[in-house]
Amino acid sequence: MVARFVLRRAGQAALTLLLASVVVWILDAFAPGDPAQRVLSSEGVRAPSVAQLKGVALQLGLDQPLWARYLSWLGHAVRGDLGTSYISGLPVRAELASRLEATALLAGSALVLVVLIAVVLGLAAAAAAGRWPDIVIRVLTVICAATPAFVVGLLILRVIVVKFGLGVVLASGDVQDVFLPALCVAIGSMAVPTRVLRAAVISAVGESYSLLARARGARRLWVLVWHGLPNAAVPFVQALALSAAWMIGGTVVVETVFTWPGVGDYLVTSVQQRDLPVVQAATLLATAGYVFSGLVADLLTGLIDPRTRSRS
Amino acid sequence: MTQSTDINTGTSAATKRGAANWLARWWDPRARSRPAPMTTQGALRALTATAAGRIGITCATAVVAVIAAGALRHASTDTVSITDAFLPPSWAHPFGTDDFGRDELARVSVAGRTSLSAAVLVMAIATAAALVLGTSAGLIGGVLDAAMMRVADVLLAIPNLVLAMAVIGALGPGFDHLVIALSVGYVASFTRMTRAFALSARHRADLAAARLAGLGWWRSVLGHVARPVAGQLTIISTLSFGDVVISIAALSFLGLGVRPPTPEWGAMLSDSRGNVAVAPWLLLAPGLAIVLTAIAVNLIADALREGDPG
Amino acid sequence: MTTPTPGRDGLRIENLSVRYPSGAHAVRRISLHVAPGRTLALVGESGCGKTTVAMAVLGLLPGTARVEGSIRLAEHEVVGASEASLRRIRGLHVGLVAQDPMRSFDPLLSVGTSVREAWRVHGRRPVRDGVATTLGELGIPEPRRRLRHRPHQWSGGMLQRAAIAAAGAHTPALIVADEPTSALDADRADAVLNALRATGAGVLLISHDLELVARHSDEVSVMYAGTIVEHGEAAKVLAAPRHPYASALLAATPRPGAGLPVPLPGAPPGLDVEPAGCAFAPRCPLAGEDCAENQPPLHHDVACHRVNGRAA
Repeated sequence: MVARFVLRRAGQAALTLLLASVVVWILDAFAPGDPAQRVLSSEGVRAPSVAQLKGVALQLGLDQPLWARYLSWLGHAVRGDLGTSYISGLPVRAELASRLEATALLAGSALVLVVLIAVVLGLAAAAAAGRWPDIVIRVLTVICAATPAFVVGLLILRVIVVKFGLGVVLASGDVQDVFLPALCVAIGSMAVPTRVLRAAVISAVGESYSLLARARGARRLWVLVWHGLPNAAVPFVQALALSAAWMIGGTVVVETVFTWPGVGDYLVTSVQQRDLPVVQAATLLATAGYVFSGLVADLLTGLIDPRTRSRS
Repeated sequence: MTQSTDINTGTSAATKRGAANWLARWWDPRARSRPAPMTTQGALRALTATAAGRIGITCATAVVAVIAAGALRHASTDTVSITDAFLPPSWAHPFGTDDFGRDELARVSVAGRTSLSAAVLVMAIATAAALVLGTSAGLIGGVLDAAMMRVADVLLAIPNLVLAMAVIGALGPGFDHLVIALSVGYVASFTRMTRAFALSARHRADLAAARLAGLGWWRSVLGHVARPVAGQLTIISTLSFGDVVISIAALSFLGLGVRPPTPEWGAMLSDSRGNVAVAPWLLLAPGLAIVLTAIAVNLIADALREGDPG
Repeated sequence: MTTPTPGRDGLRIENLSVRYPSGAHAVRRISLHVAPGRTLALVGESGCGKTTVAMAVLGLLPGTARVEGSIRLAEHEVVGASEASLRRIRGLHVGLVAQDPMRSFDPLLSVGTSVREAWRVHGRRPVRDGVATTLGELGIPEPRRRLRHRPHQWSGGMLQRAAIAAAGAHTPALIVADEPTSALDADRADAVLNALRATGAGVLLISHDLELVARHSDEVSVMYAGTIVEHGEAAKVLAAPRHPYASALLAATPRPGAGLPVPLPGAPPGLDVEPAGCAFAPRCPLAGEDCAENQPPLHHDVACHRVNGRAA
């Protein structure tokens, strides 16, 4: 029963990813500008001849019909070959692989921070519903939602620069440096999960079973923790999944601000340089991350509340 | 607060509905999420009666005031005066001057007009496209509907900012491309919602009554389906407006949005990085502008949604 | 629970008044006594203050409500007690059974865990298999297996009996049953009420179902607009009500063989209205001039000028 549920979701996720690859590929196929020229100019050839352009075009397979080119790309991609960068001439896959760890570290830490912040603040707001701590927390979420991750990042960097007199902060991509960038991403994404958790806990605490727990002698804190939190878990997980898109965007930007050597930084430079194979691959990687987070959220939901499993 | 009310693909319908319902109950868990058409009076009342609305209007007024003040100033944003570079805030230059001696307030003002007009354009395109596409999908149904929803789902599976970057990667930077790139994601999500509204509006009693009374297909559709749908779309686009402004700023910050010399808040923030120790006001002015605008828009959207009779 | 030894003296309410901050005067100087083992039904239309009385007995009214008078549960005073004292009273000396059994149980916990919460909140543990035994006595088949199931797998009638088992966990002096059968089918209702009586506690039965009340209660108090207008032995009050409101209520109840029910015209006054005289006067067929000016005191268990012979 559970296995079927998992397989069904995983299958849907894979299909979505496949279709996304089509969309991204089409985008790049119809991009204005001549890839052949771009490759040649990055190799240093200023004014390529027609023969040179044709040669490179043949190499890139640009003479084939669209569907053939897509299938060829797909075939390579499935086997792990994600193409070659127009700019560096190096295989995309290698660069992505080396940067993946740094991004995963950043995104993972950000997620942990978001969960911590949201649970603490959301629970506190729910416990104090209507009173001043609740209002303060609500105001905090409004401000955090309105402050983009890069603004937070710049502010933090300024503090570092002024305090420690460092001209440039070079982040190594290692664990010891991950806290501040992760905090930036987390601050920008905590608003929705916090508010959802607060609302869900308040709702659960207002239910009949919570009243009965108190009628049996339970204290308010007991009801909050044992009835409020578990029943808020499902909406909370869903809210986290929805924020994942924002967190991914935040990660990309924060990597640039802190020069964190991750996939996001790579994506930004490739877009700046219109290095399409890299853009393609990095976009798909980001999409895979987002789809995967949705899948995990669904699985967790099914696990926590078995009633959701039977519905399609 | 929106931060992507886009429904995540790959989640089951039930959990999506559950998530949407929870998201609809921001402040008040007991509020129900039945959509209803909002009148102008209702909107005004919601804005002035709730705390969120009042603060939102205040912030919006502050932003508009700054933009207007900057626009009225005689100093042109392109007046370069190296001797006046990096002046701290003063009466002459309320926001100081930048590395070229240009008046920061004037620059923030012009940048504001760029950012906000871009955001408005994105929302306008997304709303118009969604109205047409979503209504047709909902009313016509069948293969067209299924195909459009599949495409929308796939577009929504790609995180919005990343999708915009991919489009900009293909087309190149620039104001126009920025607007198009951001619109794609919102067209997809708005179309999904419009289709849902159209589906429910399709079965409304007043539509059936109008048709029975002999009203032509187009007229009845326009009046009884398009109008409430448009109303709901307006609320939704207001909710997303804050995110759009932030996304525009983020993309410009990364150098992927407007091209220099067009000033834009995000781009100004990027420029301020090198001089942040010397001239912190160059960081604070556009940063504060972005934050204030986003707060204003989000609070107004919250107030409108709270006031939505349900 | 097989040999009930309830607290002495059960529930004794004296001159209880409850005011909400909105101005609503929900309960206006009522007095009640429920002896252990006896069932007192509190009847009246929606909004007459019955649920407020129930919540007041449990000390679960919102902190903003102003409570005057006395509520004594087996020598413990509820009015004015601290939250800590109330926690020692709830569950141990008084139990609650709520209206909708489906919502009375945390959907994420097994029924057994929910029932055992009645012991856990007091730091105790039920006797081994004690819960299963009790439920078996209450007519639930295969209780040990069923207790591991979640609430959505149980029927309403069974859940309500489980709720009664939880309410009676510590053989309290009183169980408050707030519309315990409204959400159930008629044939289940009797089983539930029998289960309540089997606990041996005094039962404060809040209901608007006069048929049910007639079958299962020993005494009846009729409430209107926050006051008790008639009180007495159930059989007597329901066969021959003296107060005009009680008569009207009975006439409006559909009963087999009693002819068409006669609905009562008008509506009860809002609880924020403070009538100078009898609250029922505007709708009363017997009303005279003095009725609107003087509040009829409870005399011989009836609060009516006409009945008590104070003719104008």
